[in-house]
Amino acid sequence: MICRQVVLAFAVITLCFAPSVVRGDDLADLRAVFDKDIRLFNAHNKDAFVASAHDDIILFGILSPFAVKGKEALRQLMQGYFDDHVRVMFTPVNPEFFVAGTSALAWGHYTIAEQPKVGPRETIHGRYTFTYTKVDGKWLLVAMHLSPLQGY
Amino acid sequence: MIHRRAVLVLAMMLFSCVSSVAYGQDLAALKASFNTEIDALNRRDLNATLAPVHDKMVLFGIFSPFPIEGKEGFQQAVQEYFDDYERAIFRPIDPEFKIIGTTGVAWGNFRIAVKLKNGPAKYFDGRYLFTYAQSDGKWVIISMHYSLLQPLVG
Repeated sequence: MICRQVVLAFAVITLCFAPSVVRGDDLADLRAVFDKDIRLFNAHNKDAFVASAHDDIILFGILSPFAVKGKEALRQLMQGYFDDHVRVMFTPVNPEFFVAGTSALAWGHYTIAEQPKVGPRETIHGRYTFTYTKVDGKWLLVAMHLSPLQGY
Repeated sequence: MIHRRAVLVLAMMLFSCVSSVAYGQDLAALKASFNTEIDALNRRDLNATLAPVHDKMVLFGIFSPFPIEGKEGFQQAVQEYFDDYERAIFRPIDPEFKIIGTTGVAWGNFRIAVKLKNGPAKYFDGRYLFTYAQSDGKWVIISMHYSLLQPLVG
């Protein structure tokens, strides 16, 4: 009887803690994916960056007012951007993360330091939201929205 | 052997049909949720505006550079929006929708027409991206991000 109660208590405790452990792992995985995405971007490695994105990725960025749709369009945009610059550095400021089931967000402020091949250096400050979804156990980037801090 | 292949092909076709019907239903529900949210906002119905929002949602809006976090923060922001403007209409332009796994995305351009109390009408043009998560068969908003399009000068 006591043994059964111990087993029951253990099962209840396990059930209580399991979701938070899973969420903790998800959050750690998400941070790792985000950090890797930023490293790849700053290394101008567009192919590896795009590889971890979903085929139907959507971007509202700072280079165009229009939505960029799909991996190939994103790759072309990044290619043009990196071709025009000697150095581009995206630095997240106060990055935050949030997991809701198999959907997730990375958001915060950013600073982009640009050194163009022609023209002066530029620093842009703004806000970002990256949307991820979990497919086959992996977090894939499905949407990005970057909005420069102008006019505030 | 031929019989087995025919069964396999039939099963694959059936699975494909069922998947596309399910996707279509999810997409219709996502569009309906988005339209309901915009309608609630334009009707200045605070409770209906808050209903589909996740407790930990994140908003990057156009009236503040800072993020608004959580349902309570969102409630305060919407209430201030209703209080500050006598009339405010958010109109999506070319709205698009996509579902990937259990994540839904609604995006497009917008125009907000606002009229300050005792003030003139103003217009803001920009881009929006809403992120939804599917929870218990319902689409819940986990993020809204708005950015303004700067007017051409000169």
